[in-house]
Amino acid sequence: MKRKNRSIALKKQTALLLHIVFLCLFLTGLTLVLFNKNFRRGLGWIQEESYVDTLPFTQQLESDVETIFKYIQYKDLLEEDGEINYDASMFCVTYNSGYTKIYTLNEAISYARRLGYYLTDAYEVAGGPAVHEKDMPGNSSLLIEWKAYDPDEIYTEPGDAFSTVEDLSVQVLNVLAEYYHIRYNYIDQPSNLYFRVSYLDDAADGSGEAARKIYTNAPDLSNEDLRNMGRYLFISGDSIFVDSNLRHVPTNITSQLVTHNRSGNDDYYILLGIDTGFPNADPYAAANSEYDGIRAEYIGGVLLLVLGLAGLAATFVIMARLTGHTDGSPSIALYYPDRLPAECTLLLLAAALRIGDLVCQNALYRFVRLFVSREYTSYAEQVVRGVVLYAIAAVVFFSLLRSFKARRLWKDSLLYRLFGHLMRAVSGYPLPLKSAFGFAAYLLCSAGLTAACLILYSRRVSMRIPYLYLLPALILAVFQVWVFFLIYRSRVESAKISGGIMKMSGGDTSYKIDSTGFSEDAARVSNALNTLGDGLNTALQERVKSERLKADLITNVSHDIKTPLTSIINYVDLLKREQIQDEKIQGYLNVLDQKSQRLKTLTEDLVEASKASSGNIKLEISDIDLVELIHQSNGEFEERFARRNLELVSSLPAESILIAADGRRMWRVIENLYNNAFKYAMENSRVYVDVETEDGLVCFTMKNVSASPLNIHADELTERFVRGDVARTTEGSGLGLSIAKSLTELQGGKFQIYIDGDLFKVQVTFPVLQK
Amino acid sequence: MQTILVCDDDKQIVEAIDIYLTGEGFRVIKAYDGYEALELLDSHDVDLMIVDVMMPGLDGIRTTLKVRETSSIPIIILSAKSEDNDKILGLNIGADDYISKPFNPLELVARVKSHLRRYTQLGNLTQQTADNIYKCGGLLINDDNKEVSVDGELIRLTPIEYNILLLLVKNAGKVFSIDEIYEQIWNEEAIGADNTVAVHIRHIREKIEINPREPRYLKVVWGVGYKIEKQ
Repeated sequence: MKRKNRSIALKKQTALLLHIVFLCLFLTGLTLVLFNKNFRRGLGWIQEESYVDTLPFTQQLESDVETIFKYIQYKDLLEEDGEINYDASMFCVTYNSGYTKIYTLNEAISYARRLGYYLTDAYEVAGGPAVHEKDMPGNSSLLIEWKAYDPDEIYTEPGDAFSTVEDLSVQVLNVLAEYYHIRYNYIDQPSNLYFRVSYLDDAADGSGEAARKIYTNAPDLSNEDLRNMGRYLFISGDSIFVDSNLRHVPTNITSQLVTHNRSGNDDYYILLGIDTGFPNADPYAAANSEYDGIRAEYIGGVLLLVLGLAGLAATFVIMARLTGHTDGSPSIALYYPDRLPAECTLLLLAAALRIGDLVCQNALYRFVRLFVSREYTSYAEQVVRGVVLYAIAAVVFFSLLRSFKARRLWKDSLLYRLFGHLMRAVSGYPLPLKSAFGFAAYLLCSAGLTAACLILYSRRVSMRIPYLYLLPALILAVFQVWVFFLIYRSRVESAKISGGIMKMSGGDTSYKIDSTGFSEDAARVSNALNTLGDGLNTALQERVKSERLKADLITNVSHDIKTPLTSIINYVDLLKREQIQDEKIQGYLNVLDQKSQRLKTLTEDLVEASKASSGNIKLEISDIDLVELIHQSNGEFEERFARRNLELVSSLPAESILIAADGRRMWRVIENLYNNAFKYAMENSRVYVDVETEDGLVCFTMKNVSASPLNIHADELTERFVRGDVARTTEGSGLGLSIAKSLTELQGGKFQIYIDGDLFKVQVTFPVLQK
Repeated sequence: MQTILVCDDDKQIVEAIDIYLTGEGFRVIKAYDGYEALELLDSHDVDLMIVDVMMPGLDGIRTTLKVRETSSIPIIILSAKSEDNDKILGLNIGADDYISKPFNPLELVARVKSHLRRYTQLGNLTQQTADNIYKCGGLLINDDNKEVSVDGELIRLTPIEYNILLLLVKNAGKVFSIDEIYEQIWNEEAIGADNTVAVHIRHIREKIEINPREPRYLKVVWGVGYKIEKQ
């Protein structure tokens, strides 16, 4: 007992601990998901398993495509056979004097350097003139003839066509910086992005590959290699289709490709390959690893969220089951607050929630602000408030749950007490008045709730909670369903009870009314009925049992009688053989003989009668032909009847009439009737035997005129030991008709005797078997 | 002289049976319970046994079972129990006949004689069944000389009775309705046949059966017809 006790307490503590742990897990998961960069993108993005499928990658690729084409432009401009050509012409200006000068790269650089410009390690133009030297040539507005690095520039404003050599040189320097930048980052440094752009130059002489201009950062790799990098993009001039396995194709790439085609033909292409293994350190590799981190975090967060929720639910259920079962005794242990009426508990809950809110705002939030940085403060406050309110609500819920488990929730409630007072007030009135009260209460409740609903609905615009009208509507709906349930249950109960009564009165006394789910009153009534049925059933069984006992007793007694009777009969017979001449003794012997024979039939018939009337006979029912049976019986009796000058007049149908009966018992019935006629019919009279069918019944009728007056009632004839002659002078046990009647009824037939003066008529009726 | 063992715990009944059987020329030895009967069987040459069922010590059923282990002599059970179940039980465990008390002394003697004839005289006759000889238990019909005998005793039958019996014996076990018998014997269509057939059957039964009310051979299937029990 004590061990179990401890184990329940232990279980409770473990469950509570686990609950807290799962709460922490849940909150961790929530935080991870909420503050993930991809929060609010739903769960679908998790399917983007790698960085190359994401939008940032496409944006990065677009900017890199931009850069690649810039590099192509600058390479044409600045490079000659792979080296920088310092003599390349950069721009041409016309001085005010009309003098035109073409500046080479070298000259532009020198000019800029003279003014103090230089390139940083990161390939950015820095520095500049401390003082503008007025005497520097070209330091005035000059007309720009052309710019080799920006050949397509269009001057929209009049001043645009003018610039200083300084500005132009700085521009050249910028171009050079950008060229270096690209070259360093994409060509010299290993990158995860490989590209190859190819144009066919019409102007150059020679044909085929010689005339082909190829720009690439992977001269050693074939096109096939680039395609096998992981992700690739191939666009050619002679096809409108884009061959790629990228999720998003950069939008700018085709236009750039066409723009940079200096010749008119369409024999050009661009092939990009992205090594998705990201072996080289570059922006792609960095972004990829960051993306993987975010994704892992998000997935982990979601998993923690789900696990936490599931754990919370599971431990909550466990705690709900355990609560109240403290002391190991089967009853529910209640703490003092659990005994409060439910309404009070709910009021307390409201108050506690309010207090909890205040405590949070005035104390806990300040602690939160101490530890959490500004941007997370609001979230942390929400979490703290949620946890506090949840704890309060859970405590109150468990209190209510314990009360419910102890079946005190409803009984302790104020509503119940009010209800009880009302019921007590009403209980003294008669039933019709009570029903009227009940109906009035129902109408009042319905009307009140409907009115509340309508009023709240009409004022919903001005209410703080506009949907408050749904509350009375919901209560109304529940109330109506409840009333319907009560009416339905009462109907079902009365139907079941009346059905049970019908069954019991129909003879099925072992029938039981199933009272599960019944109301208290109906259950009492049905239990009483069941008890009544039990009593009837027992009485019935007792009767059957006593009938059987009686039959057994008669059988046993008859056995005991038979043995001495055998001796009597045998010795009477032996005496008769002694040829005694004395007539007196002869007469005595005849009496002895007759009476001992009668005793013999009596004992035999007695057993049969008791068995037949108690139903203690095993029937062998088969299809037998009643007409055939009567023919057979006639054959058996014809000569015996003739001995008493009785004429047997039978009118039987030619065809056979089948009935379901036991042939031997049926013969016994007919034999007893014939015997009856043989014994009691008036000599020299006729015995009529008919078989007729009508309405699916076959009726055997036997009529004879009694030798002695029948001064008794027909029903009495079938009673045991009753014979037509009250003096009992003739042979016979007086059991024949009784046995015939019992046997007929056992086989499902009808046995009737009619007496009209001296006319004796017996009818045996059976249903005809339909073929 | 044939020896009959009579076993019953009621001494007067044994005495009465003794008088009847001795009068018929049999030698009777008497036992008053099952054990005694078994001892006497060992020490005497017994041809037939009459045994009561309800006896102290070893009862008739168990005595019969014991006897049947070693001997095939006719056994007639004599009992106050007259229910069907008791008769079926007695016949099933090996008894040849079942007579319920109180019995008719003449019937008892007739049955004893019948069983003894079958057991001693006709035991081997069965093998000689020729083409035109029909046999059913103790009932024998010789179609060549139109002779019928039961347990070796000749029976006198009218031609119609003979024909009916022959029809039933030829088809032993089959049930014939009155109409079928009429059509077969009279070669006429049976339209509303009267009681002729039934009366004839009754006559046959009275001639070939010891107790016509409880026939051994010609059985009435009530409501269906008549048949010869296959044996």
